[in-house]
Amino acid sequence: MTRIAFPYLLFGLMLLGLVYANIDRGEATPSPQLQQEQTEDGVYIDPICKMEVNPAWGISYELDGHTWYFCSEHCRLDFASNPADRCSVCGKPVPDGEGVTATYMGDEHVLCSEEHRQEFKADPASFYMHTMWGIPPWLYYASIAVVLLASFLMFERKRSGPRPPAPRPRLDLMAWGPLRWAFTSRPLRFVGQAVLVAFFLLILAAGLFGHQNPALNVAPLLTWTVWWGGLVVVIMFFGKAWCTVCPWDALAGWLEKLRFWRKTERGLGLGLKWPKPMRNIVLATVLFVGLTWVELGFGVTMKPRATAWLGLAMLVMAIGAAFVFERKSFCRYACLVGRVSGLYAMFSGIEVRARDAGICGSCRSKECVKGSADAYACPTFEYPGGMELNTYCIQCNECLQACPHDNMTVNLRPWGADLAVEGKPRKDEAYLALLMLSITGFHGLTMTPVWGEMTGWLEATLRLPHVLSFSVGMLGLMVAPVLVYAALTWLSHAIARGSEEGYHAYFVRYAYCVLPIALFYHLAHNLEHLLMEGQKVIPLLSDPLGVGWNLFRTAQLSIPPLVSLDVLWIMQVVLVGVGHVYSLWVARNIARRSFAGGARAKASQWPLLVGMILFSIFSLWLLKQPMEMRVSAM
Amino acid sequence: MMGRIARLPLLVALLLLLGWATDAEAHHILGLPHYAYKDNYPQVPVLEYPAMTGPWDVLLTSYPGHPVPGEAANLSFYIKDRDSGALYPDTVAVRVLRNAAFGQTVEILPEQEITAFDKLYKITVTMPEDGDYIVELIMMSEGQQERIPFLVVAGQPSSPWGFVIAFLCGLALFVVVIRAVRIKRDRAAAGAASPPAEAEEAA
Repeated sequence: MTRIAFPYLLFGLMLLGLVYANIDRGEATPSPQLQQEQTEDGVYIDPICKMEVNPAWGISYELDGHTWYFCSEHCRLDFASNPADRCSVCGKPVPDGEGVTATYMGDEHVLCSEEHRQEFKADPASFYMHTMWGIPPWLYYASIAVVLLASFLMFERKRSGPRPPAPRPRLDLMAWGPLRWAFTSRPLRFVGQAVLVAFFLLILAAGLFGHQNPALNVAPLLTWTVWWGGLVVVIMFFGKAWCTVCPWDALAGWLEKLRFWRKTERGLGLGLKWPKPMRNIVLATVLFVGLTWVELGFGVTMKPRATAWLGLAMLVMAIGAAFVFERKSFCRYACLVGRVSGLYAMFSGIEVRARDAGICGSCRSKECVKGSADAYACPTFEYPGGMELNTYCIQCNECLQACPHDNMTVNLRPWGADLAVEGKPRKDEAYLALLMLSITGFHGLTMTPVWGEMTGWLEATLRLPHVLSFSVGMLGLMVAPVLVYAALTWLSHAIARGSEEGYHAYFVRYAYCVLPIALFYHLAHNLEHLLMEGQKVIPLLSDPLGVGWNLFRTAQLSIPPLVSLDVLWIMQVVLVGVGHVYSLWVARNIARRSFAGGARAKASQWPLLVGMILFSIFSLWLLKQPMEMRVSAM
Repeated sequence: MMGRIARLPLLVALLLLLGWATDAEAHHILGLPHYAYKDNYPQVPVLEYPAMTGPWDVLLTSYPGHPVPGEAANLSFYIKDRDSGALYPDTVAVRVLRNAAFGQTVEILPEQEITAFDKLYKITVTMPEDGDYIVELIMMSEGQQERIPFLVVAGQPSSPWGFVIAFLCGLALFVVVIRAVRIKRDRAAAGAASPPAEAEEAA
């Protein structure tokens, strides 16, 4: 039970802290005599770094009877040691009226001398990093390496060899009446879908007809910051809940069935079978890579109308597939969101499973596969009675309603449960997992000044036009991690020499261990967007099209970031560390399944451990870079 | 007499209308209609972008704030010393770039030197097509050349109505085609399942 409850307690406490801090904000309202600079909405400006500071989260400091608020302990100490400005290069105090200034990313930086000004202007990003103040960079890079090494040794200390199967900790949520009703109620699912469809239509309307400045239009923020960033959080706690209420699937289903929630056998579609050669997730993978290219290449995250076009493109594909192919073939084979979240959902803390495999084995009618009077057959062609992984389950809960033996249920479970079981490793899933790892890193890199320098270098060196240098850079950064992984698994395979399977099968099997790294890095990266700019959705919802409305009287609100940079940085470091430790744990499980002897299993993991340490250092370096916020134009 | 009686309802209606009349929410400044874009004061529909470099505060205003392609946008830069309020003494230069795909920029207006006129550095720019533009101010600050970028969005990309109507028509056509195929297939299947009448009679 502790393993199941731990993530919920941890994140619940974090959420409570966030709520408490923001409720507390009212008490910290300053008196008008304070000298600290404030915006017209009463938000404080940190005198050191010029960031807007939420006084509830900010760190306070009393000086001459006045309270000052800072974004971080570093800024507070800086100010306390000498209220004068500090040189951004050497940190020396610069008295008022002395020194020179330089502007970078809209902030003014004070430098003690012309020499330091030139140094700053040559590479401002290196002086603008988020750093763990008080700890030199090499020390915290070394710390993450030590944490991973210690975790590896701890996992390996556990007894190896054959063991009796341990009971899987699960909490049956259907045992509680209200949840049972919620999971099996078709009208309730319709209500959830209707809410999401309303938001989807709002994004389409805002994107197509609203003001095209991204700072004034709700479509880009709601899509790329709130939805895409929030999706990972939803997966971790609620599995494929997004698929349960997906607006694309809802609209396509309503159109094809001409029903909102009741079951009907008389749909309008042709019900053809999905072509055999395409019964894999290659199409979804291609669409995912294509979306990344379009999104970053054309700056879709900053273009309201392009955002709406992408939403419509997904709708066209969903409707087209619903009318041509049987059940939810699009969700199973082609939906890039569904397939990416499907792999992530192997880690999630929730599952739809059979209570007793024996009952399913003896069941002759198999309503979960064939459908019943009130429920559809599994729309993604799974056999729910024997389902062991979340990958293709869309949590539509049809099987819960179809099962005549009341043998299907929804369980809470520990994180990463699917990655601990044997499963059936698939080539297409393995490559998507590796590409997800590459793309999360690539995505982060493009938001830093390093990416501009890299494409500039490619243009100059290879004399490529910009589009090609972008594409070549993207291709290189996507393929490089896969090649590094291939080399490491080859080394692992060669060292262990005990595996009966060939190298390629070995390569595919181990690829699943990168999933927690990708998931937690994705979360850490998007946490910055969610907590630093996600709050802007409140004023934007009052005027979603940017035409001067004030529907909820919040259009003029200026809400500061929800956390300070220090808090955000700590959260990101913890998440990256947790992801890598989970990956080690998954690698350990895979190794023990692959090798009969404990020593071979252990030896096989050393190359992967080195790879994980290198990637964790790269992730932390990346998160330290000055990230361009998507709505910084605001 | 009859004429006066006939005019009475008209006068009453006019008085009622006057009674309901409220203050107009628009007024005119310099012959242009102005509306309250902000709560605190009636503001002309301009774009305002503040920035700073060294000791200088820079404010870019653009009228119209959201120009359409082919429409001349009047850009004005007001530059003053943050502490003393003194105006910037030198000339500045302005360059306009269009943000193209993949982070590339295309120069729309090469560097133009501008002298201050009536405390403002003014330039008129015509954005050729819909898109995001960067208006780059080039000025000397603390002995160094500074380039300050300002984002300006030109035009509504073409009206989406044509696209929306095409989408809906395409969807309707698709459903009709699928329905026709389905009906034909169902009839064929029904025909194959039930034996022809002659065969039944013969049996």
